[in-house]
Amino acid sequence: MRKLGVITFLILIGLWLSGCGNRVELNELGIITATGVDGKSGAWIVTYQIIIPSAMASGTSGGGGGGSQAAVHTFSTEAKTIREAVDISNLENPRRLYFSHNNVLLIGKKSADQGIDEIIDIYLRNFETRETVKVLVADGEARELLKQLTPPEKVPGVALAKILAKDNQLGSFFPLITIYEIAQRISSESEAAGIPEVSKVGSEDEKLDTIEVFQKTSAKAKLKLTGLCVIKGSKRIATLKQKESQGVSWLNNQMNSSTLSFTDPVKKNEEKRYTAFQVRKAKVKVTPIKGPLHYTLKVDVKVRGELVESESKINITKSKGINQMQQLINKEIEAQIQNSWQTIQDLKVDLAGVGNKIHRKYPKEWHKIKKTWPEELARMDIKINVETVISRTGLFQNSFKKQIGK
Amino acid sequence: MSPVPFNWIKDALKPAKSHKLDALKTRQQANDKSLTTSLSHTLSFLESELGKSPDFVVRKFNEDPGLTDPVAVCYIEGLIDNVLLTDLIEAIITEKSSQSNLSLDAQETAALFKKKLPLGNIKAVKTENQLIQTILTGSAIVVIDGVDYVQAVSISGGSRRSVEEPTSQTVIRGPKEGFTEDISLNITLLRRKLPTPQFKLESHIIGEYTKTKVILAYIEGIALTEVVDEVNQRLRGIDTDSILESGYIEEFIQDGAFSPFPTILNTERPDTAAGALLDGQVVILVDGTPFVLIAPVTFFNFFQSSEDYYQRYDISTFLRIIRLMSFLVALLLPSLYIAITTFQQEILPTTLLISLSAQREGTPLPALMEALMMELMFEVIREAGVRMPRVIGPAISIVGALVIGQAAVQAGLVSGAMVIVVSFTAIANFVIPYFNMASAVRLIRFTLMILGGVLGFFGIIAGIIPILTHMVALKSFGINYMMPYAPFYKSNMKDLLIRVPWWAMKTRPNRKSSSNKYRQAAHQFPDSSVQKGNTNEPDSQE
Repeated sequence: MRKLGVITFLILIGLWLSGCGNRVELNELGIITATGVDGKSGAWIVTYQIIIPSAMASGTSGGGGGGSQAAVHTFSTEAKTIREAVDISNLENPRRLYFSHNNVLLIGKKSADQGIDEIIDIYLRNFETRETVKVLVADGEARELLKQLTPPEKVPGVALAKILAKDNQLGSFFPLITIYEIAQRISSESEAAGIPEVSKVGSEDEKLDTIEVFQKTSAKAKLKLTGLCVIKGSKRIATLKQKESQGVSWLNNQMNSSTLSFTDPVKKNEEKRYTAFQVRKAKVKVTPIKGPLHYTLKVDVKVRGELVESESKINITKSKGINQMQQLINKEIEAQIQNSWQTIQDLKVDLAGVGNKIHRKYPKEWHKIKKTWPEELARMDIKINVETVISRTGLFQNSFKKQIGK
Repeated sequence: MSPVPFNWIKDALKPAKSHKLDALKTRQQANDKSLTTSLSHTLSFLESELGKSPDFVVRKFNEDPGLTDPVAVCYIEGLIDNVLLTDLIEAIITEKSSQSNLSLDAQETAALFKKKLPLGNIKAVKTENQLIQTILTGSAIVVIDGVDYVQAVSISGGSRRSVEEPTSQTVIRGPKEGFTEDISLNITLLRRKLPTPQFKLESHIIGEYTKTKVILAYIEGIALTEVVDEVNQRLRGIDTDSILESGYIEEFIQDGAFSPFPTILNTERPDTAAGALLDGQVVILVDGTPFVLIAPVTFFNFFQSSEDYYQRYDISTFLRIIRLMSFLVALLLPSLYIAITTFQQEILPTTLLISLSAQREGTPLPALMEALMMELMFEVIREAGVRMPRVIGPAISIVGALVIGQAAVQAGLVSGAMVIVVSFTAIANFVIPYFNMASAVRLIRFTLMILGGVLGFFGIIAGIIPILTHMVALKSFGINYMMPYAPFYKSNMKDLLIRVPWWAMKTRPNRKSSSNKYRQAAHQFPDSSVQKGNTNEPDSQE
């Protein structure tokens, strides 16, 4: 009994000796919602977008709640290394910077040109920075873009993350990519990754960095995803436009849902008649095939979806009409893929991860072409085969325009 | 170094050196003399023993001392039934006048009295000690001069609370009767539910001063004989001066004397007690309290309300799960909240983190202190609610709701989320059907809160592991506390997390091996309408 008493007593004493070591109360945290990195090795500028909780919650203490106060505060620090810059932040910021809820990482365009390997390194090395953070490249300086508000969303960092997620889910124009995915891709045989690029579009005069934008119904400028930044090795080499980027999504089998517009076959002097097709389910199989001279990329696309809008003359009450319509969609998808493939070959950057596939399928041959892979990529042929199924035409069949006899 | 705070435990475990009860015992042994034939001697003995108590009444019938032997009736007012007493005295008077012309000796008179008295339970009492006991437990004593024994007529009665609805364990559907303070009435309530000769009762008298009647009830053939023997033995081992409530017995005979977890269940519902008997448990009834004890029990018995068996099985199953979840909430919610908000903020979704930290903005105390303060405040209000006079009831609820709830948040003393956590914990605690298990949870909760506030999740786990180890090691009268899970009994699963329909509840809880295992016949699925044809069906097209 005495022994038990002694042991219990010692354990109890020991508990208190730990002294609540790494205890942090919620009101001591500076919750970071977005981080920006500018500059280059040896002179990094790190920008933090910190949430001001009292401005976020409406109804609790604090006059009027949100609206009178910006929900975030942004500031930057500069040092030789990124972690040093984070440490220096304590000189001007009373709260402990808390990176676990960081939504997006914005990399300045110039930094991306210089190389992003150091940034990836700190994200993989430290536990409080999560590797699942979504990455964007800023068109311009990240510190400038992080100052911009994004009405109607209160927190710009959250807004950017949501835009990325929604695009990935509903539009699939630009792929959503995280730090570890970038690390995986640029360390693979393809050595390339695509990062969405965000820029401030619209009138230069419009101030997005004051709370006043929330009082307007429309802002003349806003943050927008505008392109796909192509990273080769660890450096940015080009930016693809939306159209080109969508084909990359097809090739990477990242197409979740998207709406395609296409026209009826146009004869001379006839107006264009558009039809919209919404992709519900898409499956893309990309297989490299070794040919006598060079490799051929075989792309099999299986798409299922529905018509959501139509001006078409085609009689879709008949299966012949539906077939005709499906052929048109096939062509449209094929054109998109072809377009991106062209860009990829021009840039000699393996955005579609073809290198990995060849390595897996022909491990021995891969070593022979590895050194000249970019040139080899540019010489490759592509064979695209699209199979589209229109599973339904909505609540309506032939287009209204056709119904009224035009 | 010596751990001074634990010496009292050691002392408690040592055998007692001297006993203040010993004096009482020697005195009673001295009294254990036979009665004399003299009526006046017996009466003076009673008077000296009971003192000048105003409720001690002696009625003498010796109007003609020359002819017949004097007779006296003595009793304690209030312990006996007045109607029966009138019958007794009437009978004695008629008997005496009819005997007055016969010349009988004392022995014959006494025998005749025994024959002619119109009452059931008449015993001859021969020793002084026994005499005192019988008169104090509600018998009238008929003393006849010239015989060396007295006749004790059991006419106990007097005012008692009648059977009422149980107040602490209420149900929506089910019998509304509850046990009372009268043990014979309580036994009647059980007998009515179990009119079978296998329903056995064993009586104990415990308490030197209180002489409390303690009755062990069980069903022969269903209850394990080892358990019955063990309970009997432990009851016999109790040597104390008083038993005023079943709680005394519980503390004397329970396993795991220092465990916060109760190993004996108490109920004031006869249907719960009867159900326990049919499950093979034993019931201990104690005179003077409506709470009877049920043993042996497992942890999961504390989450079974008698209503589970009266409601439909689907809703009962749902409620079982709700109760176990509430148990976890009541035990862990405050400590988890503290641990998450001070150590593991990472696991919160961003929006929740922002809204929580907005509420924490400007609160002065650390989360642990805030939680302890709120919990203690609630405990105080709760205790006040139990102790205060009923009349002031509404006042306390208004003050409590205002102080703990709105005012504290508006004054910026505590965060709104903490109020929600504390109040939900409190409500979850009330869901546990048995109060003693709920109390155990209340106590352990504070320990876990401190651990969670000091070490975060690690601390909570460091608290839960010893608790679980303890629960697995704990036994109640030889039955493992976590029984159907550790050790695992598949057959018990039908009345645990899920309560299967009655027709599927074929066996009793399989505690070790009971000879009488089957509750009911097989194939009782209610499919009569399929087999026999339903006569209520609408006319078929013929």
